[in-house]
Amino acid sequence: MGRSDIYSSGFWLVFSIYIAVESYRLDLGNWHEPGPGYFAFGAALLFGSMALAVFVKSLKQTSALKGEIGSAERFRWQHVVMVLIAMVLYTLLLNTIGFVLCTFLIVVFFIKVVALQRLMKSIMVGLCMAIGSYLLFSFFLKAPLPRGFFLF
Amino acid sequence: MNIDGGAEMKRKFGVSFVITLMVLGLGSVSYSQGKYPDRQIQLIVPYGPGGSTDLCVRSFMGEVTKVLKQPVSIINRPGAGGLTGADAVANSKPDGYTLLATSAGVLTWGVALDPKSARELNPIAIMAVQPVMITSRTESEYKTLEDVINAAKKKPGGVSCGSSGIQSETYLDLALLEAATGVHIKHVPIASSSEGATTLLGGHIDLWVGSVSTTQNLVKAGRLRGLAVSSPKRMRDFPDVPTFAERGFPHINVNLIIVMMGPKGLPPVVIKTWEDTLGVVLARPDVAAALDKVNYDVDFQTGSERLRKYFSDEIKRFSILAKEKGIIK
Amino acid sequence: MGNLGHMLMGIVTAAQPINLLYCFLGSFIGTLIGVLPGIGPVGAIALLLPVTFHVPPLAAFIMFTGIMYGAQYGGSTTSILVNIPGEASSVMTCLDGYQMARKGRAGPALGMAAFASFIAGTIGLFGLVFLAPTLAEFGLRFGPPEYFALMAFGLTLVIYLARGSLAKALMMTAFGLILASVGLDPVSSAPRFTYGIIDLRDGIGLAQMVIGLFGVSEVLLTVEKSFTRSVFETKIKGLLPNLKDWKDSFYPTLRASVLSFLMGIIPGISVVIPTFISYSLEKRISKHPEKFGTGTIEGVAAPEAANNGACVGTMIPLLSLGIPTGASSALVLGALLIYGLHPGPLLIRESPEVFWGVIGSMYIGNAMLLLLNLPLIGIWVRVLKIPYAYLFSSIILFCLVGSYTINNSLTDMYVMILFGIVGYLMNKFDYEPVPLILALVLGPMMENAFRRSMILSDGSFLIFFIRPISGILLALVLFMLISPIFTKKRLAEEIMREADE
Repeated sequence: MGRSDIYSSGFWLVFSIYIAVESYRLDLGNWHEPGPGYFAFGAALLFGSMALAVFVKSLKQTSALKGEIGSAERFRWQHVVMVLIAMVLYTLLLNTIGFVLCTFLIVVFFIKVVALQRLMKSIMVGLCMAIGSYLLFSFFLKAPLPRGFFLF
Repeated sequence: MNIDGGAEMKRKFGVSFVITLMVLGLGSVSYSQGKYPDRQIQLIVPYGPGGSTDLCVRSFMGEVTKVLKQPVSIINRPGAGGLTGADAVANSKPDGYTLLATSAGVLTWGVALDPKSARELNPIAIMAVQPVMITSRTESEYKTLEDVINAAKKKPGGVSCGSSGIQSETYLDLALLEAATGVHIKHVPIASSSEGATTLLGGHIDLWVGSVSTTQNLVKAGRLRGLAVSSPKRMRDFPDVPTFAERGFPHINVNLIIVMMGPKGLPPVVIKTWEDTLGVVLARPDVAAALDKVNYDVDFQTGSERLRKYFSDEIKRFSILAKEKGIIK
Repeated sequence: MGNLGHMLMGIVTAAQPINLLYCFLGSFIGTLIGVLPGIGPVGAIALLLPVTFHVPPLAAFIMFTGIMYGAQYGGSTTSILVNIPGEASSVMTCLDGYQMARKGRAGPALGMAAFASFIAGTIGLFGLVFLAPTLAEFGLRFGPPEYFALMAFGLTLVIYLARGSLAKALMMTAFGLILASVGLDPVSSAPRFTYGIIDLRDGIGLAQMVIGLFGVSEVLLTVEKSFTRSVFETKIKGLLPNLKDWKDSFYPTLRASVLSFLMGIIPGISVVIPTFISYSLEKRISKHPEKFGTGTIEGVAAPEAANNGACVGTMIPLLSLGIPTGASSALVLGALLIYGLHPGPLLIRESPEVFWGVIGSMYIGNAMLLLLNLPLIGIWVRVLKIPYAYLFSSIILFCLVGSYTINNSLTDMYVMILFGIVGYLMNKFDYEPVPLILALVLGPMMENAFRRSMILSDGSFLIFFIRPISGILLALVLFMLISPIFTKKRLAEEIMREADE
C-alpha cells in the first residue's frame, strides 16, 4: 500500500479510460443488442471506478505515512532485465539461426553471465541442454521446431 | 601463475567455443538442384490438430510420403480462421517445400468478407470434400425443408438456426437459402460446432447448419433429422436426406473443400509432381476408405488456372451475397 | 448383467498385457507432456495418431487416456514444484501447492495431488457407469441463458478468492474481461483490440498467458533476489501426506470430486472452471479461509480432485451422445472415428464390449498414473535441489519452447514474455493474478452466452429469469452480491483495516 498504489492505480485509471474510449468506438449497441464494445466498456467502467477508489485512498494515506518501506523500493532489477532481454533475443533469432543454436546460446548466457559460473561449465551444460531438448522435443515428441539456415 | 599459460588457456577456450558453435550449427546442408522433392516438405494446415481439416489431411498424407519417398511433415498453424497459416505459406519461398492444405472457405468467403485478407496463393489441387447439412431435432415440427421455409415465412425470425459463425463457410448455405426464398431465419452464432449440436439437442435452437461430421452420429442414432444436404447427390450414409438441388435450390452447394495451395510462382515441376502423386494416391480404395472414416469424400480436381478461376468466381458470388445481406457495405 | 458387471468385464478386458503396455506408454508420455509447459495432450495425441495406426484400436484408445491423465498429473507436478501450471487446469494447484513446496512439503503436496486425482477419477467413473444417460440429458438442458448464469456465478466467486484488497481484485477481474475481448467479436466477427496483428485475432491464449504470469514471473522474482534459493526450505519434510493431511483433505476431496464431475457434464465447461469453483468453495466453507494460499493441503486436494472429476465428466456427453465438449474429447472422438468406432448412442448398442472396454481402460489409466507417480515423488522432490543456476535456465527454456509449440507461433512467445513482465510487476505492486485468470476463462463464455441469449429472446432480459436453472443461479448471484454480510462488511472491514495502518 502507499506510494506504489498511487502509481499503479493512476496507470490503471488512464488505461481504463483508454479502453472505455476504444470500446465505445467499437459500437456498444444497446441493452437488447449488445455490440462488440459492450462488455469491454462495462469492464472498463468497473476497472476505472475501482482504480479511482484505490487512487483516492492511497492519496489520502500517503500524507499520513512516513518512511514506509513500500514495495517500490526493492527493485534490484539487473538480473531481471538480463533474463528478459535474453528471452526476447531468443524469440527474435529463433527462426534465423534455428532452435539448437539459439538454445545453446541462451543457456550459456544464463549460466555464465547471469549466474556467473565458469565458461567451460556453461558451455558443457549449454551443449547438453541444446542437444537434450532437441532430442526431447523434436525426436521424441515430434514437435516441429524452427530450423535455421543450417540443418537444424 | 604463468601469464602466458593464461593467455594460452583463453585461446584454447575461444577455439573450442567456436568449434562447438560450428558443430552445432553446421549440419550437412544439401541444397542440390536435384529432383523434386529431395528433402522434407512442410505441409501447413492452418487449423488446430484434431480438427476436421487436420484429420482429413493426416488420414492420407502417410501414403503420399511413401509415393514421394520424402517425408511430408504436417505442421499446424492455427489462427485467424486459417489466415495465419495461409500467410506463412504465401510469404514463403516458392520452391515447393512449403505448402498449404486448407479448407477453401478462407480463400473464398473469407476474401469476400474482407478483401484485404486475400493472399497470393497458387491452387495445386482440390483433394477432398465434405458436405454441409441442415438438421433439426427429430421430435420437432420441422420435418422437411419446406416446413422450415413455411414457418419462417409466417413468422420472420421465428425460426432459429445456429452455425459456426458468419465467417464460416457453412453459414453460406443458410444465407443462400434465405436469399433464394426471401425468408428471414434468426441466426445464432455458436463457434464450436459440438456446442452447437448440444444446443440443438437441448432444444435451445431449432436448426443447425454445419458440416456433416458434427451431427452425423446423432442423425444416425435418430436424435436429429437431416433436412437437406449440400452435395450434388444424396449421401451414401444418409439416403433419406434430400439435397438442396432436389428441392429446387441447386445454387445452395457450398461444401467444405480441402485444397492444396502453394505460394505464387511455384515451378511447374512441383505442381505436376503433386498432380501426379495425388492422382495416384487418391484413386486408391484404401485411401478413400480412410477419408471416409473422417467423413470426407475424395474429390480430386486439378488445373491451377481452372481452380483459380473457380475460386475467384466463388468470391464474386459470395461478395454479392454478402452485400445483399448487409454483412459488408 | 447389470452395469457393474459390465464395468468389471470392461476392466478385465482393459487389463490385458498389451493394453497395459500401451497404457504405461501413454501415461509416461502424458506425464512428460504435462510437465513441459505449452505442449498439451491435444497436440501430442494428434502428433502420435499415425503411430497408432498399426495398433489394435482398444490399445490405442487406452494409450490416449493414459496421455490425458498423465498430462493432468504432470501439470500438477510442475505447479507444485516450480509454480508453472503445465495445464490451465493446474493453475489453482499452484496457489497452495507451490507454497507447500517452499515450506519443504513438496512430497505431501504431490502425494495428495495424486491421491485426490485418483479418488476423484474413481468416483467419476462410477458416476459415469451408473448415471450416464440421465446425466447426459441433464447436461443438455443448459442453453445460453443457463451458461450465462453459471458464468456470472463463477465470477462472483472472485469475492471469495480475493486475499488482499477487494478493490484491486475487482480491478484484475475487469482487466481479465478486457483481455478476453481481444480478438474477433464472436457475433459480428469484427476485430477487437487487435491493432492489425493477425495473430491476435484469436485472442490472447490462456496457456501462453498463464505460463508467463506464473512461471516466468516467478523466475524473475527469484532471480532478482539471489541464486542461493533461500526462498526454499532445503530440508524435505516427509514424502507422503501424513494423517492430519488426510483428515483435512477428506471432505474437500469428496466435495470437489462430485461437484466437478457434475460440472464436467455440462458441455463446454472444460476442466478449468471446476478447479476454480471447487477451490473457492473450500475456501468459503473452511474454518480458516485466510490460510488458503499459504500452503494448505486442502488447497491442493480440492483443485486436483476437481480436474480429474471434471475430466471424467466431460466423457459423458462424448460417450453417450457422441458429442465432444472440449479439445481433448474432440481428439478422442477423432481417434475413435479413425478406428471406425462411433461414440454415441449407437456405440453402446452396436459394440458394447468396446464401450465397456473404453470405460475400463479409463479406470486402468487412472490407477496406472497413481502407481506411476507415487514412486516418482522422491525423484521430483530432488529436482528442487538442483542448483538454481541450472534449474532456472531449464525453466525459462521450457517456457520458451513450450509456448512456441502451442501453435508453432513466435507471437505466443512474445505474449508469454509480456505476461511474465506483467506478473512480475503485479507482484511488486500487490495485485493478485487469480481473478485475472478467472475472468479470462469465464469472460468469453459469459459474453457469448449473454449475446446468444439476447439473440434468442429478441432482446428481452426475461429469458434469464423465467427458465428454472438460470433463474436459480442468478438468484444465487444476486444474493451473493447484495447480501450485506458479504460485500459491505468486507469493504467496511477493509477500509477500517487500511485506515489503521
